[in-house]
Amino acid sequence: MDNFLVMKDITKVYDNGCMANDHVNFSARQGEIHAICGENGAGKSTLMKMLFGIEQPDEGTITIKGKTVNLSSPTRAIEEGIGMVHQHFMLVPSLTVAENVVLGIEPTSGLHFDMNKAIEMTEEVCKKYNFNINPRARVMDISVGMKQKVEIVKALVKGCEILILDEPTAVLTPQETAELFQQLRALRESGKTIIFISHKLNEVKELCDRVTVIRKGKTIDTFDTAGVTEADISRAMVGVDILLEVEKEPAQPKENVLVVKDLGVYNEAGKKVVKGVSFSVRSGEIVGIAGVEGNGQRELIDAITGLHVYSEGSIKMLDKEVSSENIKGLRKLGMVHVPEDRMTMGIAPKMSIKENMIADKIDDPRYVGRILNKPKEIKEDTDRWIEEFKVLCENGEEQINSLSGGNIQKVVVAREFTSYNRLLVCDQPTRGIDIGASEFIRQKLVEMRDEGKAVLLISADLGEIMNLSDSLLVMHGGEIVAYITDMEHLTEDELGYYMLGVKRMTPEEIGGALHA
Amino acid sequence: MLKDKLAALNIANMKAAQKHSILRMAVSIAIGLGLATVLILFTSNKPSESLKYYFTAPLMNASYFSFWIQKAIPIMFTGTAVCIMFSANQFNLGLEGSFLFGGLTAALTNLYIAPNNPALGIPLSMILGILVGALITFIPALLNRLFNASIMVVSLMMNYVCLNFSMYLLFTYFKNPASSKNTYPWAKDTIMTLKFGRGNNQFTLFLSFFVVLAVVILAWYFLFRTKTGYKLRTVGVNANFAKYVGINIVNVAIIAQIIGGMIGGLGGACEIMSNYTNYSWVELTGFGWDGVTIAIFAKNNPKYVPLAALFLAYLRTGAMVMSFKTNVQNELTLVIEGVVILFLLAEKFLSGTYRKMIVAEAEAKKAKAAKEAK
Amino acid sequence: MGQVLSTFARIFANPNFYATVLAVTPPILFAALGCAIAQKANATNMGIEGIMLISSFCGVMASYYIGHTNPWLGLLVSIIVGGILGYLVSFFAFRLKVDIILVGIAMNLLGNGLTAFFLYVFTGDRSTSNSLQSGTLPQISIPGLKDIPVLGQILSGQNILTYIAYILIFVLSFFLFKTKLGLRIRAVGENVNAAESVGISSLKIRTIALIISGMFGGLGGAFMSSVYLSYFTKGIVGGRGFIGLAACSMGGANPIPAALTSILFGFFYALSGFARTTGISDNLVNMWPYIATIVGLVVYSIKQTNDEKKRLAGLNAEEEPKKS
Repeated sequence: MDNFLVMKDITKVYDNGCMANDHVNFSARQGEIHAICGENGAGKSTLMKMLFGIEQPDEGTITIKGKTVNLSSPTRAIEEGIGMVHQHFMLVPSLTVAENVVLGIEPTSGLHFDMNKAIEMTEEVCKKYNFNINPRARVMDISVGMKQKVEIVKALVKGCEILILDEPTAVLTPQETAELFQQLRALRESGKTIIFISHKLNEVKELCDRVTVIRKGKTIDTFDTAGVTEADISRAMVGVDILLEVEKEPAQPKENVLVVKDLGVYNEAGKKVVKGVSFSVRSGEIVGIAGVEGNGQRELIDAITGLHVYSEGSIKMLDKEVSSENIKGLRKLGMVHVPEDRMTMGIAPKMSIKENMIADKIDDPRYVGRILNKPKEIKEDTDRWIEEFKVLCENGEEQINSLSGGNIQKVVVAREFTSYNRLLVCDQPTRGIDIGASEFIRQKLVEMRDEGKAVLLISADLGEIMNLSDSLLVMHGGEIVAYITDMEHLTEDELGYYMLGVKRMTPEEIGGALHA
Repeated sequence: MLKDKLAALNIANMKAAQKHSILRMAVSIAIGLGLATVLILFTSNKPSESLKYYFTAPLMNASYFSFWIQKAIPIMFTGTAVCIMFSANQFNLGLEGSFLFGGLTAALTNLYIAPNNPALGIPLSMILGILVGALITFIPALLNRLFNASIMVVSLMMNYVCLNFSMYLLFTYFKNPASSKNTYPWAKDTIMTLKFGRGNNQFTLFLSFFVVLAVVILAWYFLFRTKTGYKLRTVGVNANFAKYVGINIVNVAIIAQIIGGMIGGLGGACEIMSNYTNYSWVELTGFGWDGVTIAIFAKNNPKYVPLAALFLAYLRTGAMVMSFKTNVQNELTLVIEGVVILFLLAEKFLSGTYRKMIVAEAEAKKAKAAKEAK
Repeated sequence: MGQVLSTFARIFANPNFYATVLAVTPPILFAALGCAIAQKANATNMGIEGIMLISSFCGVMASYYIGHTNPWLGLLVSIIVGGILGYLVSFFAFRLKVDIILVGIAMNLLGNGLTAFFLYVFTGDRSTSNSLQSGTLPQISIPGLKDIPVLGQILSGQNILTYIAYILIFVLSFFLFKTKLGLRIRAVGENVNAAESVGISSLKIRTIALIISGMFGGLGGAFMSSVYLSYFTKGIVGGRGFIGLAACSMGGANPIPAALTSILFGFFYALSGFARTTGISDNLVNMWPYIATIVGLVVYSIKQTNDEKKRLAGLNAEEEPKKS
């Protein structure tokens, strides 16, 4: 059936005035795997939330098998045969696999919750679609790949016809990914429609029949994947307007500021996620780190910035071991950090712009006397920064969470860049913010580099990282697999190969990342 | 253009939020007082007289007026203390214990360390009260730091430990054998008060009122004008952020609780020296809980504590006078407090009006902009 | 010292002591179980103290004015009132979005205020309703058991509500871990998004949990005024709700550990009663239950931290060999 699922002219405006979807059109056939591609913040997730009844569209209609449906809640969506595997697993850790699978449609016998029936139901689906899971295991004790299978089984057991997977491979190992793809193909054979949200184009190409590209809340086009190259999809996703080159001179790196040697880091679950990483960042250069999310970048950055302990190897900031300093000490040494998640880590939402800007300078004698703060000095400087960093607001007293995302990010950047700094660790500095603000922040980064600062840049935006970095590290599976200095001749394809672990440099080449 | 529109919407949001919070407060108080009126009308045998006392007693004569101020003082202390602890997001409920022990310490100081010497006894009592009060809120903080034990539960239990321990001390060592539950008196008259006039026209000046005003002002300066206060609020708003900008969140949380306890202990010491000539507390004073109520009314800002405390004390004084003049119980006030808290804090209460306000603000802004454009 | 020890030895050898432990535990136990079910839905029912007070008062009023001192009617009314108050907690906390701890504090204010206010309205008494008897629920001798020496003395002849309290431990345990609704309550409590994503209304589930929690509070309140006493006095609950909350917290919100902790408190309550007769200061003895709570909570917290570490270590050990 060609028009199995049709989403027509879907428009969604969030309360904060952000137009997430602007007359989006999307349709899927029965028995196909259909990818939705788009950059972060393009509106993919919003569209899928509306399909799963979590959000309701302001305009537009959704029809399934020709029948218009009103998806007012996940319950309604489930009843219409829609299932969703969320990026963050929706599982209850202390319950067993079977209990999680039947949650919402629990079998009972008399007063009892019928555990045997639940196990039976789980096993039946597992057998039918060839999943290998132990229904009696507790979810907290199983691996991430397993958890994802549980999520899929959970949707299947409720009889879903349309299965949405939101970036399912972000957390998987290559083997797990391969296994997942096999299972998804089997599901397609049995007539299920699978909507696959991803920005990993090789996966889209490998797995999906068709792909719909969304950019800035609008549908760009739908292609048969057989007829297009990854580059075609990528072009549609990125568009031309975003590929603006930041003007910059060749870097003139000087002495080492940050030296990372044979670093090993374990994540909170005790798994080793950074393995023997060595590199250095010198003053006057921007070193980029590229990699598919979940390949150890998060933990590496947390270790460098003192948020996470490391047990193997060393990290030296200006010859001082990071682990022996607290965050305050690191900041004193000149390490500043633009965190990935600005809302949970980068700001204190109920405080003013002024207070947010001064947060890391509160021990600075410029702003505090022996007992009292110096409100005049604080106001003068924050007002200046607001102007310098073009923060769009009424005044510095305004509560920060009333600003838009881009302006909040400007406040974060303003705070970090105006502190005493030798090393700037910038983690996704332009994620999810408008073009103007992104451009501004990138320009600032280059300025800082030219002033002789060392910059470590992590970004999922390949265009950004290729454009800004003077040299580039690629991480895969917790290791550095490439150290690229010739940025001029680096192609996106080649970078992709390193990121996906298809290619890797020799240890000697990678060793070049650590400068004497 | 879209940016301007967004900015206008944001500002409209802020103004509407402020207006809405004032409206919600007014409506909540109105509901509370309305309920009080209804309860009094239905249960009093002299409703008009009851209502008169309830709503105007504190202003009737100097004695009632003094009583009103006197009632406001201890809850100003505990309210300020809770403001500081809640600002750092620490649910330490140990102020009952701090207050009680502050009182006991002051009593013992005036009886045994500096007998008949208020010039020494008053300041010394305050200092010792502060120390003892701090110790009591520090224990839950420490156990939380070391073992991750729930601050709320430990501090609740601490209050009962304090009560029973103070009673043990009182009955075993310090009780005047000629009385049922009192210590010997340390003075003929209260040592922290000055009295003018007689009978109903007696006006009592509480020296502790000046102490508490100083505490409120210092607490405000501490929270909003010092770096530690700033750090404390940052921890309260977003602990992750605080950690990331280099604030030692554990220390700050403990400091907040120690300061809370200090103020509580000082409050207890002042209360015992302003209102009593001997010590006889055999149950928790309830002022610690009142502190929570006050802090809620004051939105954790010491600036509003005097207002909130005077409001509550006004109702309580009215209720007190009403209860001995007519047949209505003064616990009525607790009901009002409970109801006001519930509505005051209800985010979704009147949220429809809130949305209308945002729209109205945005429209007004647009109209103004259009006018200016012309 | 020797004298004190022998006193304790005498207390511990007295079967009546153990009977007293069982008899003083129920109000704490009801509160702890009530808190446990709410906590399982991730709702801290700190208002349990106030709920117990109000439902106790309503029970006495109903039994005196309507039921001619029929304690069964009082019990029923207490349970219903408790349920209604539980609903109110849920309404304010989850519909109107007030912080649930602060709802609890408000509920406790209302409890103290309303009961004292209406006690006076109805009786003209300021502190007790001595004039309004609620009647007491019957004691039960268990045939067969009562004739067994020592054990019979301890277990038989307790009040019916006492037996109900202990039976409810297992009923609640069954409910939480073996029924569909229990499963949903635990799911909502642990990961509300997971529950919502499969169409379970967290609001509905939490409301149910809090209504049941309130009903447990009602049972606890009824116990105070129709078993412990036969009338209502101001502040009759005396912090037992809070102790129940602490017991629940120490028991990790699981019915059986929470019940065992409640019995531990009951033990110290009984001990303080018995020790009083031996010349040890009763104030000092009264401190024991609270100190025991603090110590117990610390021990529980340490254990909790270690368990988590061990679990993670175990998870890690499992995964490592796979890679090599």
